[in-house]
Amino acid sequence: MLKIINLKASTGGKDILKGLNLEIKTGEVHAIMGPNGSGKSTLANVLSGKPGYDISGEINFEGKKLNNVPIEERAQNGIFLAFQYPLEIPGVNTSNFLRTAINSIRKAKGEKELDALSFIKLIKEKASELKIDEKFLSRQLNVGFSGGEKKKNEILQMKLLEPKLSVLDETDSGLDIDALRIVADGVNSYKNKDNSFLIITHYQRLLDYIKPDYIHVLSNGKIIKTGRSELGQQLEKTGYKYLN
Amino acid sequence: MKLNFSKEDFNKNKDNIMFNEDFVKNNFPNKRKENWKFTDLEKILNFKFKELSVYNKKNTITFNEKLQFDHYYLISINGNISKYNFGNGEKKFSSSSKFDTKDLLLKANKIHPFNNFTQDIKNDTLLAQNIAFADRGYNLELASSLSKPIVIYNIFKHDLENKFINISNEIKLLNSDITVIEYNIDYSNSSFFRSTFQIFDLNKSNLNYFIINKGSSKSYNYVRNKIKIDKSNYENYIFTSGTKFKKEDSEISLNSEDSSAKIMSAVFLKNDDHQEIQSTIRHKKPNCKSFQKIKNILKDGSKGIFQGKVHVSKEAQKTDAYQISKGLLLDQKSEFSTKPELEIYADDVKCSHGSTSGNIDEQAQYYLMSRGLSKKNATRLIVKGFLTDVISEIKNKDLKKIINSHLDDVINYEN
Ligand SMILES: Nc1ncnc2c1ncn2[C@@H]1O[C@H](COP(=O)(O)OP(=O)(O)O)[C@@H](O)[C@H]1O
Ligand SMILES: [Mg+2]
Repeated sequence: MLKIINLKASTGGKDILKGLNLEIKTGEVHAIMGPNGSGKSTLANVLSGKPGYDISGEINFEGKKLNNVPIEERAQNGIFLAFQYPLEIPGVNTSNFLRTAINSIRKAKGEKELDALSFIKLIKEKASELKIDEKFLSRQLNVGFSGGEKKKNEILQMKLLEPKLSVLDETDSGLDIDALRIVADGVNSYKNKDNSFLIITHYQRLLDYIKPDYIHVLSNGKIIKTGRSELGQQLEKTGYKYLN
Repeated sequence: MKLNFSKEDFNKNKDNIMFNEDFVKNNFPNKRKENWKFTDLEKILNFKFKELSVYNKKNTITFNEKLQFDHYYLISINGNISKYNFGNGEKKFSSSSKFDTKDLLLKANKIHPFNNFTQDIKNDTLLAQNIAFADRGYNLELASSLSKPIVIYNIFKHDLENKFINISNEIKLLNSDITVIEYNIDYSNSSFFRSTFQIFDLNKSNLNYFIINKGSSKSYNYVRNKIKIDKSNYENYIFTSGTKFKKEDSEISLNSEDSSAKIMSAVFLKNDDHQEIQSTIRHKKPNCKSFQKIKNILKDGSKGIFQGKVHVSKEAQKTDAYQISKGLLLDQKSEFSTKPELEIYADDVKCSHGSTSGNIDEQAQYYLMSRGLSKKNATRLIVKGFLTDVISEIKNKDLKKIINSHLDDVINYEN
């Protein structure tokens, strides 16, 4: 599904990704761990098409080169990024935004747009799965949401937009145990053999809920180690230091 | 630019005919005047018009694009009331007729004697011209509340090219709680100059006064409001997107305790539109409140201006005065200017003002686009979002819906 070859990315005169290789096959769950500042969010941003990076190397998504594809087309083609720090957007009504988003993607896929009624039905169902109070849907997007509420809202968007590849950037950070479980259940119930995940996290505890097929360690802009799930437990005990 | 008028164009007041013709001739304010420093009317009119001729025709038309909610209405054609409906069906109205019930009086415009405004017109040639020429408008007096809002359909039609229309309106309220919606529709497709002088006299009353434009207009508009507030609340909501040029000057006096004044505005300016709101709010007695929130979205080299002056006299303790103005600039060519001015002579007051102007938040654009929205749709959502806190102040649900859909039309038109 995703194949990254020798990806380098820099911004503001700083080289952040320094030759990264990664392949995620359809149906696989990959986790990326790594110290702060190693370039995890940069990788996520670059995948989403965030402007402002100088990029070399190649990103292939479903066999097509992604490097110059505009942000919205990536989303329409099935790439989703749950942000580490979801933005507050004053004045933009959450449910209005969600409906515009879902219909943008449906339209791009050549599907019929959802009318108001079917949308409300759908969103109520997905929100209740994530134990999100309906009141949030009529609020301004992320404005005044707690950290946990913002993260849940990201997962709600994921479930509504039904991406092929979901990149979760530290979605577990700042969540209490109950919220963590809800988010993990949300991911697990969406996971199937046709979609893939790239989960960025610092903590093994999320990976106890969402079992990754592979764990990669990102350090200083490169993947320095790849292993199976035992690697996570090992890192939990020893930290990243011994890897260097 | 030449201003064309004859003796006949002066309205019927004797004093006004006596009035020195030279004074009203070719005399428009320019930027050397404090209130006009961001709006050089002389230059703007000279640039657009070779001549302006005082308009004195009275027309009628059939109009059937009424708003879809329960309301009373007046239909005004080029400033002249031609029909009204206060619940007993639509009636014709001519300048000689009047509608008179126990608590409601509707008459044609009042012709003001110059003597009543000698102070005002000394520095205000537009007002002097208005008093000299105004031959149309309405005069509405109410002594009880109305259960439905009054819509004033302000229709402009026929050939108005290079015309100078002078209108004078008055609303006088006693123990009355009403909503008035000035709904402007310009079918004329002409460039003309409309000057309106309005007096609002509120006594133990609440007035919610909305100004909404439908579609676009090539007209140039000056509105001068004189608002007297006694034990009353005045709320003014301005949604005048689509008008080429507009300056709305409001002089508001809070004349007795526990009164309030509110000005809220949300407009989207484009195609080098120029719109200014200038207010002077005089807090004369204690415990009064004033609140102003002005929001402009600007594009294509348009100009938005807010000049808000708050004057708090020595006696006016516990004054609460707030003003904020924000410009959202969608390109480098457009400009948003503000000039807040506080003059405070009381010591126990809460007065604050703020002003910002900036470009669209690219991070927000990116966030929305990462969910599949095109740049255009992302921008629309953000732009609409910028106006949300003004719209959310509208209490009447029907009106809120109407205004929302007007703003959507303006925003979605392009970009
Ligand atoms: N816009 C930027 N300009 C300069 N440096 C940046 C910018 N964005 C990120 N960095 C730097 O790049 C490094 C990697 O950042 P990031 O990808 O956010 O790391 P991580 O998510 O792994 O903690 C950090 O040292 C960070 O300070
Ligand atoms: Mg990060």
